[in-house]
Amino acid sequence: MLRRYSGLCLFGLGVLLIVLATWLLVSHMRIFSLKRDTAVMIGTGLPERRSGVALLAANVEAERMFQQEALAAWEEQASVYVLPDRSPVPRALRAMQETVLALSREAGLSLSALSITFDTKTVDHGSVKTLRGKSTLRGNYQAVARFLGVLSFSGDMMIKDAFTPEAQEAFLRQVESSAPLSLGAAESFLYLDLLQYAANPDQAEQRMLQDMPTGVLADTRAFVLENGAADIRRVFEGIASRLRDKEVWPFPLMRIDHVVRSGDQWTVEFTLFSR
Amino acid sequence: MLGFHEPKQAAVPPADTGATPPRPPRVLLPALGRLGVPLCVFGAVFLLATVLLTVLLTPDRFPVRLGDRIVRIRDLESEEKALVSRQAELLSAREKLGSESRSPVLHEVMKLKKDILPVGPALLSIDDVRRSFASRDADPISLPQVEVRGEEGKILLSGEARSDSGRSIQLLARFVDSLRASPLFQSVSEPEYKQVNAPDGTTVSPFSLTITLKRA
Repeated sequence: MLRRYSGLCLFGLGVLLIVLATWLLVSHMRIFSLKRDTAVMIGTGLPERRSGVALLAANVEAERMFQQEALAAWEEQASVYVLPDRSPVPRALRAMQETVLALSREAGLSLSALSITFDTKTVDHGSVKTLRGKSTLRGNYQAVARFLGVLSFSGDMMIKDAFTPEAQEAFLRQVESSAPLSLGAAESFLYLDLLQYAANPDQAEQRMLQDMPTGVLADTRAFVLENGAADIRRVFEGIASRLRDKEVWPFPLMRIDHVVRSGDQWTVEFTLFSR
Repeated sequence: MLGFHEPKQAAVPPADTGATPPRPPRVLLPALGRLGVPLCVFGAVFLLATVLLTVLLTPDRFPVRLGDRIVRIRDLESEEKALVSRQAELLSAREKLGSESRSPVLHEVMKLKKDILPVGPALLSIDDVRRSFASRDADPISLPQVEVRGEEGKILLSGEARSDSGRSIQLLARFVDSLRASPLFQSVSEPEYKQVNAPDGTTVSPFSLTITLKRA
């Protein structure tokens, strides 16, 4: 009796082992097929990834070289002119006066500065100090809007400063995907001096676009213009060269607090920043 | 009941002895019982062979053909892994290049700039919209009163829309719609639409608007 049942048990065990082995074999074959598909997929994308990494390495190296020289220079300019550790008043005064003169003489707009005054005491906020100022201008809407437009770029030194970080990232990503060989030129464009671009925007854009495929030229240029370059062109049109010659750029960082128009007279209240 | 009757035995009628008829012998279960050992051995060997096959013949060892070259899957995977880690290294190196410690003043400026509203470009944008309604002969929208409240991020405009064809309200409505299309503005308030006849035969719609600037 026991012998008969042990035979049956062994039979069941045998069947179980066969089923298990078959399941193992089938899963192994499935893994084989899956791995093969994955390998083909990896293999297809590998050349692109390889060239992408090589390009990124070249760009990081170029950026490193550039930043060693340029970033130190920008940082120095920022600490001397944009966020100085001494009073920003003399430079702000000169910058505003020169802007008014440039707009009235070079751009032919009706604008004059009647007065510019500053508070006597700075307010300490820890890492920065602020000083309030007030300017009275006489001019039409367009002239004063241009003047305030120039002040809005105060603190900006490179083209990238006029772009939001998101726009910078999107711009580089767009160039990387559509014209990877021009990525270096695109980065150089972002780090270009703002006033240099404003003085000759077409030339600067041409230099950035020159090696790009024809199909992406229009889109890239449109992206750059929409995300800040058009504002630079417009605000500094006709006055960039004068501002550069008078060496008033970069402006000390300032914020427009209040503007009131009363006929042709405008009162502009602003805040200057320093360290 | 499991089992089959042997046909020969089934054909012989049982002897009429008055006792219960003998139960037919079962053959399937004993047969399966006899098959138990060989089947179990076969199953064990089969399973062992499959396990060995799975362990020894891993897919990684086998090559795949990619275009004109044959590469082992394992090599492909390790190359991809190396590229991904190199890419991550480069991206982190790039991030460090622009780190705050290398340019503290530039970073402070960037931080402060985030809170500064683009008042100048906003006023220029309003002027663009206003001038888009002007023609060689007429400049129908005037803005004699402007106030910018930087802290609140608001621009208050007062002016009038003038039309010589009696459509100053439509003109004002189109002006407001055009302002709302600007990406610099978060909102433009709804003005009061009214129309008065001017002595020179034109119609005038005076208005007051509050524009809220978009913060970064």
